Amino acid sequence: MASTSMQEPTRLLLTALADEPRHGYALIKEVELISAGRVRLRTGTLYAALARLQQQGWVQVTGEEVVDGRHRRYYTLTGAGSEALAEETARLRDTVLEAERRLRLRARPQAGEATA
Amino acid sequence: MSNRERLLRTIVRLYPSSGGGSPHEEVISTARDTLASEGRAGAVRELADLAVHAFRARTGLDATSSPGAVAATAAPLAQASAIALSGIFLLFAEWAWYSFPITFPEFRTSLGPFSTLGPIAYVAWLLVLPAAAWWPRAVRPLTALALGLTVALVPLSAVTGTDRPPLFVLSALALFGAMALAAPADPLRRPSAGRVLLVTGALAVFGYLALSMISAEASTYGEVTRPLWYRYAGDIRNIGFAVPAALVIALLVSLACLRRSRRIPFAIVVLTLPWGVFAYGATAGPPLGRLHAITVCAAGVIVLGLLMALIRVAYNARRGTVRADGTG
Repeated sequence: MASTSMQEPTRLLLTALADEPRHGYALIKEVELISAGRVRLRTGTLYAALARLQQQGWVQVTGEEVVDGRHRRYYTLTGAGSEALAEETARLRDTVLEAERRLRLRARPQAGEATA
Repeated sequence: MSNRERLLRTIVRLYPSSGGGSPHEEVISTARDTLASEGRAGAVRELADLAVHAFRARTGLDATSSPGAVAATAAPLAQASAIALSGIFLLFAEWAWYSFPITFPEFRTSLGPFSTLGPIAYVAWLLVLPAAAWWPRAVRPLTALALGLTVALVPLSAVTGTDRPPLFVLSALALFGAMALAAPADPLRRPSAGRVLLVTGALAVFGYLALSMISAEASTYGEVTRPLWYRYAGDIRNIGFAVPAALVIALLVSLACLRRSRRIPFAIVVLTLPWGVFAYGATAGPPLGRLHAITVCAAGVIVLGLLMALIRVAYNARRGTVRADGTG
């Protein structure tokens, strides 16, 4: 069951993990990219969020390696994590569609007023 | 090894070596990469963030632990308690907007129309209330500010020679503030999740305290316009008795509803400590000596720490049992 009140950085983190496993620094860069630079996760915040998501059963560690002297641990979405992200995405999509519909309704009378 | 690298390794060593999913070398590698693209100010913020989270992971006050969950449950009520107490003292004890026929030389040097330096901290606490209603992101910084000002009143009073509220009042407010800041931010909850509880709690506690004082005054003297006194007053003693009594009732109710939430009884027990310091100071009769008050406050902090450690041990033991059973 997805939470419908997750914070934006958490949503972005899950999105960054949706396509493939990633390590900590790659996640920081991906979140920055997805949010167009709006959200920049700090290292402490990232690992606290990953620990919480692991506890929730939405994220798991799938591998470890050392590259150029850097220890990398790879994280991936679990089935429950994918479901949670899908549910959150559907909720956001519904909100966006409804907002667009209402904005179109609002635009019509204004256009009518302008031509009258 | 550069100073920054040395500092980074020292901070990361704060993380517990087992559990939590944050092995030291991995965190160091990620932080090192991040720091490489940061300027001086960015690096300070990065290291500060890392230090806070490492300290939380070490003390068990993070979003994944049971003490963290208890602290998160207690935090809005702790803030509500501090706001309500500040409102009561600012309106009824500090502000001489009505006069009492008999003059007691309780305080010698005042701050303008106020009896003591107390309003500096009280106003900061009161600002948390509108922030909770309209600007949730400001609640934590304002709470930190209020806590800092509350503690700063003691040296400020010594430096300026202006009176301050008694230590049992400041100790209770400081404990409430520390409790609120100890609560971790849960990434799966909005920052505004506890604000309804904070706002309604503050208004309810304020109303409860004000009514209990006014009703006691009305029944005793037939008048309600007597100022509240920090010491030797039946009013403040009423607060000292009323709130712990309400907390005991709340504890019994929460124990009866244990199946719905196991955190709430623990949160109420934790909240009882600052109120206990306050009630002890308020009902002790003669003012507490400085050493006595500091001892009571320190004992409160130690008991609070032991209580959180106990919750953590019990939580870990239970988790271990569940895993051993293969059901976790």
